[in-house]
Amino acid sequence: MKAVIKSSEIEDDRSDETEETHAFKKGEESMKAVIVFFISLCLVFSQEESLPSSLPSKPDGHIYDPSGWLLDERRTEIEETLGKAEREWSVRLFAVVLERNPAVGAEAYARMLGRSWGGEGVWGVIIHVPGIEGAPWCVAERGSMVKWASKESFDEAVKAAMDRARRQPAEQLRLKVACKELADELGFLGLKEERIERKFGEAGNEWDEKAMDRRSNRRSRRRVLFVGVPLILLIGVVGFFVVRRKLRNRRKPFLFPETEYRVRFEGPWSGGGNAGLRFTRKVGEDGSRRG
Amino acid sequence: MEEIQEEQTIKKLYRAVTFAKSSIFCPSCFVKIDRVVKTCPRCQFSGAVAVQKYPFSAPMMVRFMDDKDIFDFRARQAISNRLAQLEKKFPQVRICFCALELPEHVDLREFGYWLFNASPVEDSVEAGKRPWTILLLLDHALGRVSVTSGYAIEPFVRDDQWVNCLRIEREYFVKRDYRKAGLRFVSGAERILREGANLAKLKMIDQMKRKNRMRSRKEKKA
Repeated sequence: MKAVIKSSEIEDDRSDETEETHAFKKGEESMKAVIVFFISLCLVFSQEESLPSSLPSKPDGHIYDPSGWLLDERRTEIEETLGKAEREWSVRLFAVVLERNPAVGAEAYARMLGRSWGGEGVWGVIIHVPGIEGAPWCVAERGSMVKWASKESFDEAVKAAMDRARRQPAEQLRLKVACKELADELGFLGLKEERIERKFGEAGNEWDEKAMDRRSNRRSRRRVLFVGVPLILLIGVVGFFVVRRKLRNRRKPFLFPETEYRVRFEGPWSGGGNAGLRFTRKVGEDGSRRG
Repeated sequence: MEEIQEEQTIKKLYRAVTFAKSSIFCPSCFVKIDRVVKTCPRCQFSGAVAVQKYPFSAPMMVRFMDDKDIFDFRARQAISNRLAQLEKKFPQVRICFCALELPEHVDLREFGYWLFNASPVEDSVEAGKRPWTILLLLDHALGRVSVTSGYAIEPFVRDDQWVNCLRIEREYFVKRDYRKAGLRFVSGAERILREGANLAKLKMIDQMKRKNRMRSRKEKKA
C-alpha cells in the first residue's frame, strides 16, 4: 500500500512540477520578447546616433577628397568657384569625392553632410563617386531663415545645374561643371532675390518717406488750421468791426461847426469865389460858338 | 475901402480862420485880398456895383435853376437822388445847379456872386440854408462852369478843390452829358466836404485839447 501511495504522491508531485515549469517557460518567453524589443530599440537608436558620428568632419576648404582623386588643377578651380560662391552670395557648397557609394545612398549621405557642415544658410553638397554611373549627385537646401526663392525654383535651379554637369564627358570635368553651375544658379537666385528685396526695401523706404511726408504735411496742415483759422477769424472779426465802424461813420450825418462869416463885398450870403473853368473854346471871329 | 468891424461879423462858435485856408478873391477882378473888405481895393467892386451891373431880379435859389431844360428830367432825377444821399451825410449842405446863357463879357464867377446874394430869401428856412449853399453855374452856350459857396461852408472848402473837381469832370461837360457831369460833380463835392469834415474834426479836437491844457495851466497857477 505504501508503495502505491508513494507512487501516487510521486505522480502528484510530478504533475505539480510540470505546471510550474510550464508557467516558468511562459514568463521566460515574454521576458525574452521584451529584451529583444529593447535591444532592437537600442540598436535602432544606436544606429541613428552612430550615423553622424561616422560622418567626416568639415574640411578646411570646400572639397572633401580623402583619396586625392581630384587633380590639383581641378581642385584649385573647384575650390575657387566654391569659395567665391560663399564669399559673394553666402552659398556654402561642398564637393565630396568618395571611393564607394555610401550604404545610405549618395543623396541621403549628401543631405547628412550638408546639414552637418552647411549651417543655417544655403548649402549644397555635390557627391561624386568615381566610376559610378549617374554621378555626381547633388543635394542643396535652404536654412529656415533664408526666405529667398520658392522651393520649386530652388530645386529647379539645382536640377538644371546637375543636368548640365552630367552632360560632360570626363568625370573630373563633370564635377567641376557641377560645382560651377550650382554656384552660378544659386548665386543668381540669391542675387535676384537680393535685388527684389532691395527694390522692396527701397519701395518700402520710399513709401516710408512718403508716409513721413504725408504725416508732416498733415501736421503742418493741422498747425495751419489751428493757427490760421483762428487768425483768419480774428482778422475777419476785426475787419468786420473796422468796416462797420467806417460805414457807420460814413452814414452818420456830419454837422460842420458854425463859424464867423467872412462877410465881404457887401454880400450877405457869399463873398464869391475864384473857382471857374472853361470847357469849350471862346466864340470864334465869325461869331460861331464851338463846343 | 473899409474894413468890416468886429461887431458887424456874425459871432459863431469857431472863427472862420480856424478852418479856412482859402484866400479871399475879388469876384470881379480876382485880385487876392488878405482881409475881409466891403469893396475891392483894386476895382472898387462891391455888392452895390453888382446890383447896378445886373439890374434885374434874380431867381429863387432852388435845386435846379434851369429854364431851358439843359438838365433834362432824367438828369434832374438822377442828380436829385444823389443829392439826397449827400444831404443825409451833410444835412446842412445844399447844392444848386443853375444853367444859363450869358454874354461873353460877363464873368461867370462875378455873376455867381450876384446871383447868390441877389436871390430872394423869403423865409428863415432859406436864410438858414443859403450860407450852406454851393452853387454850380453852367453857361451851356459858351462852355463855362463856376462854383460859388456860401459863407458857412466856405471855411471847409477851397477854390482850388472846386477847380480840380471841375477839371476831372470836364470831359462830361465837353460831351454835354450834364447828367453824368452833375452826378460826378456831386460825388466830387461829397469828397471835398468829407475832407473838410475830417479836417474840421481834427481841428476841433486840437482846439479842445489846447483849451483843456490852458485851463489846467490856469488852474495850476491859481
